[in-house]
Amino acid sequence: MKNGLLTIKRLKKYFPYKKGLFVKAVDGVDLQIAEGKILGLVGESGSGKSTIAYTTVGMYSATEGEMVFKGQDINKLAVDRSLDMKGEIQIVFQDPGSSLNPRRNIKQILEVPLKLHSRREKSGFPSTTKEILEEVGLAQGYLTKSPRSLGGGERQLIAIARSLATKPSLIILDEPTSALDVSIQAKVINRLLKLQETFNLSYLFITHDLSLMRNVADRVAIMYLGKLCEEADTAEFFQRPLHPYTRMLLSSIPVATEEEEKLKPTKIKSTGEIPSSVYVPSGCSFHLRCPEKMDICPVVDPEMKLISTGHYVRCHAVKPEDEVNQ
Amino acid sequence: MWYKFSRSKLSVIGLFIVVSVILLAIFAPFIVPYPLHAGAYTDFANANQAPSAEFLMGSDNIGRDILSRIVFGLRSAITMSLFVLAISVPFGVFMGLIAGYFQRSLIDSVITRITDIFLSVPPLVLALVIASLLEPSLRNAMLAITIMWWPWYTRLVYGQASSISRLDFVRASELSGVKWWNLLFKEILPNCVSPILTKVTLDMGLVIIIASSLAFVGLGEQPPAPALGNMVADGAKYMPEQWWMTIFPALAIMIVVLGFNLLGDGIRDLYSMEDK
Amino acid sequence: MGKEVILSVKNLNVNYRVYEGTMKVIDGLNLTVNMGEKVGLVGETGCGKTSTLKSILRIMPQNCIYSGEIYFEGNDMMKMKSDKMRNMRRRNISMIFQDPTSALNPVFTIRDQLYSVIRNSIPERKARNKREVEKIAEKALKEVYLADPQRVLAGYPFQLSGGMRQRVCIAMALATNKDLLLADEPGTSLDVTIQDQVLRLIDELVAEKGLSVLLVSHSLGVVREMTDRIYVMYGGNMVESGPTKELFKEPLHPYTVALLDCVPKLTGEGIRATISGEMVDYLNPSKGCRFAPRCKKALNICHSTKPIQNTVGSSGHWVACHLYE
Repeated sequence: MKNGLLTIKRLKKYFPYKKGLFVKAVDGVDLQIAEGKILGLVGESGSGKSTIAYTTVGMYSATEGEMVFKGQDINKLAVDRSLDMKGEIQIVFQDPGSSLNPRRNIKQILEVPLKLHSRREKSGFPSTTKEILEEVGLAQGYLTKSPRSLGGGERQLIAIARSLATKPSLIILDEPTSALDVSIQAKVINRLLKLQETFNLSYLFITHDLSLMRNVADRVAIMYLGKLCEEADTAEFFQRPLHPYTRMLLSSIPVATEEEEKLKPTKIKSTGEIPSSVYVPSGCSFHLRCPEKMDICPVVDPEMKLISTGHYVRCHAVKPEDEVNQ
Repeated sequence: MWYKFSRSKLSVIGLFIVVSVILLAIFAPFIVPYPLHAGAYTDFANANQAPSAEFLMGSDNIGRDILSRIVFGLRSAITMSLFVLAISVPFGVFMGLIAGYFQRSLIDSVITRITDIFLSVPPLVLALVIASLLEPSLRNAMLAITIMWWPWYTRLVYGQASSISRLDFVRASELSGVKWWNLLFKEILPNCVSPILTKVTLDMGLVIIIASSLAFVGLGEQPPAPALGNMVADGAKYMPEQWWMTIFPALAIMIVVLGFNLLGDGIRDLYSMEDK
Repeated sequence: MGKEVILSVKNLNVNYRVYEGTMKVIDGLNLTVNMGEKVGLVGETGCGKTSTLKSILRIMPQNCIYSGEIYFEGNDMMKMKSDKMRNMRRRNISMIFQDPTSALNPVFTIRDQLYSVIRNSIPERKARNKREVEKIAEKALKEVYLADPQRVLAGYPFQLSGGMRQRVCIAMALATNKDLLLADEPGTSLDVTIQDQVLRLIDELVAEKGLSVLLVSHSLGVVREMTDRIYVMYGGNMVESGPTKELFKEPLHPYTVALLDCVPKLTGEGIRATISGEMVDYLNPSKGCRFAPRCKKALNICHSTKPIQNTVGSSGHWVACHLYE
């Protein structure tokens, strides 16, 4: 792996729960995002994907681990980061209802970050509220509107515009479209992809929607109970899903066409519940639901292994290609 | 906005009362029939007159016009309310914003504990204690009420601010480097305005009641200056024969307080309609 | 057709009085569910799915004006007295909601809630027999694969996971013999792997009990996997209907086509934003086809005249669009 824009190593984030017990939201995660690339971080509720996002922007402090952005250590809270660093890493939240201040108009909302970061020179980025609106494809008339009068999709576009105003290199997208209808989601996603190209942005795209990532991400990583299960380039990931959890997820997705049906792993069916992240099962945390469980699984937690170029899997049942060939 | 507001007749009545009372208070010296009667004036010839064309609401035991004294009493009550709220509201709101935004920090616990102490004592009792410790005067009564008034605003804003500062738009501003005082005043405060404004309007009436109560027991405005509370107290000695000396000032208090309450309800409804 | 019809909605109109005027949400809607058939109703937020469902159950809000005929097993529910209607709902129709958390009352145990549902939906003589109720409850929980039913019964909703709560809701809905199941976005608020289990469970129970189903969802995937026949709804109108397989293979209405294009596919063809413009303004909707302002293929007639249902082929596939006249 080349040196990325953002490198996260052995990241852990525990929240105190009761006496002596912790919610292990993130439990030893390595991630790397290359410049100008989109990493899709996929997981179900309680997998810790949002915790990673919030730790990266400095809303939480990490319990353990390293976070390096453009060669600088960013393992600290947002208040301790420099203004430039705050501008470089931005976040777009999930809920269009609460992401904009209802008592200010769009112009006021966009002006604040724009003025704050006006001194930092970065070529190509828009420098006026009008230009920013243009970049997200909204008409000038929106400047005087109140967030209340906008639909969910438009609000998310404004939230994206606001994050663009600080001239970032990395935007963390925390399920930006999961509250939207598909037709509106399509618009927002297309806009995001266009912006990514124009400004050579990197995205850490947090979502539970694998089908969406198939069409958006350059690389996909799957999380389950605070740990990564599998990570690979998108095409490889969907052609050769190896981890049993990945295959269970894929087989569970309700799809809209026959062609997709053929891509779904058929031999695996979803079973069981997602355990709580306080009482994480021993060994491999997925063993309770895994159809390929072996004797070793409840005892030893597997390590992340390189299976083929760029394809990492954390499972006892999956062997690296070279070993198989021997 | 006026259209929505005017849909409730009661709020319009409230607004009408409040506006007329304020106008009366401002132009008191030019409106009342006997401006001089607001001070240490005596006219024993006309003492204890029942309501008549000359004295619309009668006269008191030393011959002063009750109507004139009521209008001046309103003037001092409104001035006092405004003064008390002008000091206690900004202070209380600021404390509430800070405590609400810096959740679970030392400053949060200090502020909340202090407000808890203030709020655990009934307001009238506290005001009585403070006012009686000091020399009885209008200034000290105002001081006493101001001291016991701000914690209510801290408590009100605290809840509001702590839930708003958890919303995404505050997080987003924070993460793009907006300073905390800008967050407090530009992002959080505007979202607390509607409950504050409602409470201020309702409190205008409440402060008048408390101030009148203080005056009633002789801890507020001192004679000969007219205070509605004093007038009720003085008149009570002559009940029921000279009923006008008590009933009219009491009615004045009631109507003013009612006016502010109706207006306050109207403002609250207006905001809740807008938020929908 | 010849099949027996269990639910039919004819010329349903639903309007809401709001501050700004009257919102004409549902406009002459027709819908039928045949005995033993699984019918899907699909559309985006604000298309009137929920209003349709609520009118069928007659649980409309105060500011709503509605007209039309709704026949359930031959009886016009619109004309029924409210107590008779209530009995009908209890005995014959069951409902599964989107959010299992708010469908359960947090201050009562599962036992209290499940028992009261059962008591209300069986004949009174039986309902007084405690053993009978218990038996039905236990069987219902077993059917939804809840291990340890006694523990579940004694617990409160917050002690169960989202998936378990949804199972309890399904158990409640299907504990006694009903004829029609109305499912409003079942499982949507759950994680994919849990949703998958819930959907499979509903499918299994429906087949076992021979229920008719009306499934309302915004997810094309869910509807495709769960139903035999679907209705596509846009802006308070039905725009297209047909056997699920055929409709997905050969969508005809420009809206259906565009909607299918928007869905991100596992095959990875990229995402096309094919529907531009804004949702219908119900305060003064277009006189013609309600989709016309956003339709790329719109003709002049589309803006002025409402399209009728044009039958295509022999399988009952129809489309309300001027392009197919």
